[in-house]
Amino acid sequence: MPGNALKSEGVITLSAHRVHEEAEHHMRPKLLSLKEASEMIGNGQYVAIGGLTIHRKPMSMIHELIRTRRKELRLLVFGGGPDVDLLAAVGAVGSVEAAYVGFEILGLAPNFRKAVESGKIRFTEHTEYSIMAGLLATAFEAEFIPSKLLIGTDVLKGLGYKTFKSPLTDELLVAYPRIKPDVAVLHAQKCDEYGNTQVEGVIAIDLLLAKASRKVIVTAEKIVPVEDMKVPAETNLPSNFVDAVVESPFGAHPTSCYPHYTYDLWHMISYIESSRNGKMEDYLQKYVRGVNSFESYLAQVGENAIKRVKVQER
Amino acid sequence: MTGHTPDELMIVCMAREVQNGDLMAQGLTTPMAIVAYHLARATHAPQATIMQLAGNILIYTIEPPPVSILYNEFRAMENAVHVSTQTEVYETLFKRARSIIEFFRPAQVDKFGNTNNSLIRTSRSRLRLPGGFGIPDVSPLYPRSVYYCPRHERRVFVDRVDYVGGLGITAAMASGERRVIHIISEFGVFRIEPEKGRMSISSIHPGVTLETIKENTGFEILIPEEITETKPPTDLELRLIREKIDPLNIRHLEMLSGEERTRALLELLDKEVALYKTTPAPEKESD
Repeated sequence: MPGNALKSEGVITLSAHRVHEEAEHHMRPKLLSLKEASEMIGNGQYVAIGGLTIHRKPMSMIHELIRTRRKELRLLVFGGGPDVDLLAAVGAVGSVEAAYVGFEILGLAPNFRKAVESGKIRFTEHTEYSIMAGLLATAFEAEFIPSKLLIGTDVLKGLGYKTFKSPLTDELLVAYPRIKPDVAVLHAQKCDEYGNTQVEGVIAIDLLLAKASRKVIVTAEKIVPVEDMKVPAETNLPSNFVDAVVESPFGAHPTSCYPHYTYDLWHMISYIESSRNGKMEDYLQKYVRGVNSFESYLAQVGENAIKRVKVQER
Repeated sequence: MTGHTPDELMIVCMAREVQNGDLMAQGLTTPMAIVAYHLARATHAPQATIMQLAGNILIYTIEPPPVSILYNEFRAMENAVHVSTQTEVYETLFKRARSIIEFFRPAQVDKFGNTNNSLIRTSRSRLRLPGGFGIPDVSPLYPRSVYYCPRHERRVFVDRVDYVGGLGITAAMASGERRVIHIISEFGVFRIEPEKGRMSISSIHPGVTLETIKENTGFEILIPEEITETKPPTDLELRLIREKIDPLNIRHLEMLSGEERTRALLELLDKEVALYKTTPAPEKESD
């Protein structure tokens, strides 16, 4: 901390200076346990999940939300995968907004699909643009983003967004309204205790999600000293946007976290088979509800499976 | 090298649609597309650039890395010069739409080129699919689109899509703007242009009859007076695909579904782990 040297010499004392209310977003230690951070997410809240499909999903937080029995969550997800599917499997979700929910090469998200088809989850299909535009409107203090994209598609009908004539050209435009989640949860490779964060590989929409959401929780593979974050070109989310940080090694499993580990397709295949064969409850008991922490989940997954997806530098 | 498979022929047809200098965007779950991109680069389009993994990672590489399922992101990052945020991806698509090529795989396509990856309606039920992701956004912006359909069936080639995701040529027919959609299937190459107003045949793959195409298409296709046969893959193309670009035959996964795909995938994965550990990483520029 820059103030430390002066502080130890008695030149300044932090307590003598009243901290501006807003300052808590900038340089306040925000390190919490997974459990403490999960308490920022309440039943029925509008929750954005970062990552992309089977990449860098904040799975440790998803497990915590399931273990502490969250209900009626309203999810906003750019590309959903095991995150949305697991929450759907336990009935923790009231609605989902997403541009994609699936397991990529492994196909459909089994529990999500069933819940949508049976009407248990209200699903609104977005596209990459409609999510981006809504988040941009929030982050950029615009009431809406005007654009002609999606006119003529059933996606726009499903979204129910209003169209209007451009005051400049008379062209028909869509008003993409603000999207402002209550909480965003992201999994990152690295951050410091203040929330300065580095996201590597597929960034997807995570940075924008953080900027448009009321509260932001970053779970990270590693929490490092602030000195280690002094690589401005690599720190792509500054602490001003982050409210809580949680250290969670292997916290994206079974999804990937470049460059540390790739996705555990073996685990996801067995997950999908559990669902297909009516053995979803067994899966949940063995890996989620029946264990008391994400570390215990990883132990259940097993050392060999973890070793298999770890990627050593070549 | 003889005896190409249907997926190899499709990949060759896809690669031929790439023009030198194109920016090649890869969406989700499309190993055939990435094989086709690398093939195009290794043959007639050495100056084409790849934006891999939903357009996020910009890769410049002369030596194509082997196509991967398990290490897709890792291989891309090893050869990356830039990683885009999502807004940057779209800034690129909007600025460069005229020189971008992106292969879409629709679950349904109709005679006008509308696509659907969202839901299938039957008389009794609805099947929820993963969703169109970025297809509905960008499809009308590309003057030249390429769809690929490994399964040429009536439930894929439908008269009207159950849900309009990606937009076909209807708007271009009214406005007169130029747009062409190429469709590559296991049976042939097809095109949809505003001037003709619906899908027509460009070429039929060797050994496929016109009857087979008619039987498996849910609408009437325009048939040209003279039907040309698709040029089969050359020895060089086949050798590049099999030995260099996709030695593990990952491309074939897209021809399979359900348990068959899972079995093939499981067989592949262990081979991939072994191959990755023994392939040296590309050399990095040192300071």
